Amino acid sequence: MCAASSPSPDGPQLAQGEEGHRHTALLQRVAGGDEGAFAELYDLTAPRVHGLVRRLLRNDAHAEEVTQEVFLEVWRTAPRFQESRGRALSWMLTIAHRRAVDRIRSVQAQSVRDVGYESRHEVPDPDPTGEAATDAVQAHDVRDALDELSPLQQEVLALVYWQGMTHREAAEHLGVPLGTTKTRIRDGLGRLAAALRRTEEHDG
Amino acid sequence: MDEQRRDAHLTPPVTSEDLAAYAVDAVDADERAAIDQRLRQDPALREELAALREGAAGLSEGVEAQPPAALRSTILSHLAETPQESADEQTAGETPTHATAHGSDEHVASAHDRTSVPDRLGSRTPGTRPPGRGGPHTRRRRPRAVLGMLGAMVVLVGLGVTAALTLPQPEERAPSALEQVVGAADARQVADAPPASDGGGSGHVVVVASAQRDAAVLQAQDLPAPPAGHAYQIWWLHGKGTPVSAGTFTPDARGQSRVLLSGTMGSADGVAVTVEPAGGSAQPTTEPVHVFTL
Repeated sequence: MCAASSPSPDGPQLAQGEEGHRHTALLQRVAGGDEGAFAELYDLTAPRVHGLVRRLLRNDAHAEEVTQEVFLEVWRTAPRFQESRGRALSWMLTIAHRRAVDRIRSVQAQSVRDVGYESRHEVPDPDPTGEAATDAVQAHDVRDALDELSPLQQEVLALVYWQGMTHREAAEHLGVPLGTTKTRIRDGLGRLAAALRRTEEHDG
Repeated sequence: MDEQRRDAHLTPPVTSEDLAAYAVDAVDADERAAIDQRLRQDPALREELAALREGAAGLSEGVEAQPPAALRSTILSHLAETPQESADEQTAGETPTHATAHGSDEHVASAHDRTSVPDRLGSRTPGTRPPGRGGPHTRRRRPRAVLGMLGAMVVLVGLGVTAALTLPQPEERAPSALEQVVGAADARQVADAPPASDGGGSGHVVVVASAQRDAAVLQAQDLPAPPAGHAYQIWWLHGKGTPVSAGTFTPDARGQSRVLLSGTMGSADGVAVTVEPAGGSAQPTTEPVHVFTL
C-alpha cells in the first residue's frame, strides 16, 4: 500500500527543508493507513490548511467544514501522493485551495437563488484572534519572492488565488483580454516558484 | 469554453497558460476536466504542474489559523469509516480533490450540501458532523483510531492522571502531538484552582502542560454535558490580558474528553474553561467553570 509513495528516481527532487521531509515521511505513513501519523500530520499542518481555507471563505462555519473535507481527502488519497512531484504541504494546500474555491463558487451560485443568504455570508469574521503570525523567516522569503512579481502579476494572482475567480472572471474584472490574464498568471506563478526554489537551495 | 468541452475527447493541447490557471483553480469545471484528461496522458505536463503548484503554495505562506480543537477529534473519528484509495486507483493524481471514483458526483454533492449551509451556521455540535464524503463506501471499518486515542490514555495512566482508564494497548505507532505533550519530559499536571463560580462544570479536569512542547492538553472526566447548543471553550490566560481562545470541546457520553489546546502556550500563565455557545465565542461570555494556574 505504501508502494505509491516511493519517489520516482527520475523525478525532480524539489528542495525541501527538514519540516518538509517530516511532512513527507508522515504522509507516506498515512498512505499506509497509519492513523497516528495522520494525527501528527494534522497537528503540523492544520494551521496552514485552515488558515488558507478560512482566508478564502471568510466564514468560520464553512471554513471548518472545508478543512474537515480537506483532511479526509488527504487521508483518502494519500496513497496517490508522489514525493517526486513536490512537497507534501503543497499537495495538501492544493487540495485545500480547490475545495475552498469550489465552496466559494457553490455558495455564490446558491446566493443567486437564495438572496437571503448573501447578507449572512457577509457577516464579518467573528474571531479576530484566529489568524496567527507565522514563521517569520519563511514568510520573509516569500515576501521577497512576491516582491519580484510585477504589480500586474500580483493583482491577477490575488484575484484568482484569494477571491477564487476564474481567469475569465479576472479578465472581465480587470478589463484585459483573456490571453493577457492567463499569461500574467503563468508568469507570476513561474517567477514565484523559481524564487522559492532559489531560497530553498540557499537554505540548504 | 463549450467548444473545448465538445472537443474534450480529442484532448486539445494544454498550454502553459492553461496549466497555470489550473494550478490556482482559476479554471471552470469543463476546463478542469479537459486538463485532467491531458495530465493523465502526459508526464511532462504533470511535472510542469508540480513546479507551478510549489509557486501557488507560496502564495499562502504566512497565512495561518488554528482550527477549533474539536475539529481535530471530529476528523480523526471519521478516519475509520473513510476508506483509502489504492495507489493506482487513478494514475492521474492531479486532481486530488475530485479524481475519485465519484468523479463529477462531487459537484452534485456540493450542490446538495449548500442547500443546508445557512442552517449550519452556528447550529451544529462539534463531533456530530457527518463524514465529508464516501458515505456509502464504509466497506473497511478500522477501529484503530479509537484504539489509538485509548492508547494515549494509557500514557496518562502512567502519569497518574487518570487511573480510571485501563484499556488495551494498541499496536505501536508514533505519538501524536497530544501524546507528545503528555509524554514530554517536562510535562506537569495542573489541578484546577477552586472555580470562580460553581457553574455546574464540576467533573474532574486537569491540564497537562509542557513548556518544552509549548503546548497543553486538557483531560476531563465526569464532566457534565454543556447545555444544548453550547460547548466548553478553553482559554489561554495572560495575566490581566485578554484571554485567547484555545478551542472548544464537548465531552463524550461518559463525560470524558482529551483535547490538545490550540495555539501555543507562550507566556500564558493560566488556562480557563467556560461554557459558550457552540462554535465558541471571541471572548469569554460566562464565568469560568475551571481555572488552572500554569
